[in-house]
Amino acid sequence: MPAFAFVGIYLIYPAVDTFRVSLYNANTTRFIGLENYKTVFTNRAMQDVLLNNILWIVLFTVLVLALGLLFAVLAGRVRYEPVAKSIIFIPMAISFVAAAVIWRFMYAYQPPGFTQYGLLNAAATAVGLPPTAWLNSLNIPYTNIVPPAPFHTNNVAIIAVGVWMWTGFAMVVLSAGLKGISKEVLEAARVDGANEFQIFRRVTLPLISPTIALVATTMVIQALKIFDIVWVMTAGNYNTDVIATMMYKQLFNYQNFGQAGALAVILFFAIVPFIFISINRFKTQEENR
Amino acid sequence: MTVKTLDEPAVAPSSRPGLKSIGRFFARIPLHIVIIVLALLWMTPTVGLLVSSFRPANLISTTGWWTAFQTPFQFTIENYSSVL
Repeated sequence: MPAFAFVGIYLIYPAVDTFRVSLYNANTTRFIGLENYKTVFTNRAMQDVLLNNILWIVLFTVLVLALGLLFAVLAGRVRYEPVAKSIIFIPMAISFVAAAVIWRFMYAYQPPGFTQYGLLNAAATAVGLPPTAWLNSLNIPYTNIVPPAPFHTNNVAIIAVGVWMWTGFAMVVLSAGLKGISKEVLEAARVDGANEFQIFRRVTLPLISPTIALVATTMVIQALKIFDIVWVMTAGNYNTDVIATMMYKQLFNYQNFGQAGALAVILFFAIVPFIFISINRFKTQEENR
Repeated sequence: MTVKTLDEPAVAPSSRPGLKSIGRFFARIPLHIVIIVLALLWMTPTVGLLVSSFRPANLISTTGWWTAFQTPFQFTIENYSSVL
């Protein structure tokens, strides 16, 4: 019974109240139905926010998985595996804010003709290319082409920071999965005459697919609720807002409680399916044990 | 790079004479290069932060952290002493 009371006060009441607030106007004085939700899906700026978040989900998850798997496979084949893996894992141990500060050193931009103290632009000017404002520019570097909504340079630059941080996590989990594959299976495949690539494609990959799925769902949830990196790098300016930063702005900058509530509810319902997938997989894994 | 003996269990020992292991070492050089290059890339931003933490504030915002290794060396522990 006390457990019910705690869950009720700490979880259910705030959730229900957020939903109630999302149906009201900015200062919760007038009921406006689903108007806030309509704004999220029809307003141009809001649509960009959703698209940015979708780009985060796809690009971030795919890159983290691909690079994590690459490191796990490659590092597992050399003697200095612990050192190599530690180096990749270090960013995981750094706070998001510190990581963003680090990457501001990488992306820092000065107009042409001034000393570039950002590493990327210094490298670009050293080989004769013009500097790029990585965190402000929407166009593809060194061209004037502005790609459609979420595919802006600054979005990709910020996502790269997230990838840099989370690849270590994916690598460690996937590496543990790779180590769990029994040597006999791989040996059998070699005896049957499979080459290394075939073994990876037909034996290793299917065997660690549960681990890959686990990392993928974790990364999707991570990308959905991403806030800190975006907030410290650009504060969501220059079209880099994601759902969480927009929610913060609606709540604290614009004092629009209804709109913030609607975004919170949308974010919640976007994440719920992935949580269920994770829980289900965990359950079936426990049963198979 | 030192020569490394390799421990891949599936290959029967009899099918691997000494000459072959030298060939395998050279065949694996690309693997080492890929790992080392990626590890260095991954470290660069963190090293930048570490180096910057020992530089005076006015230099951090005017020159790149990699220039700290050129003469004159202008390192400082002032950042740390003001935090502690």
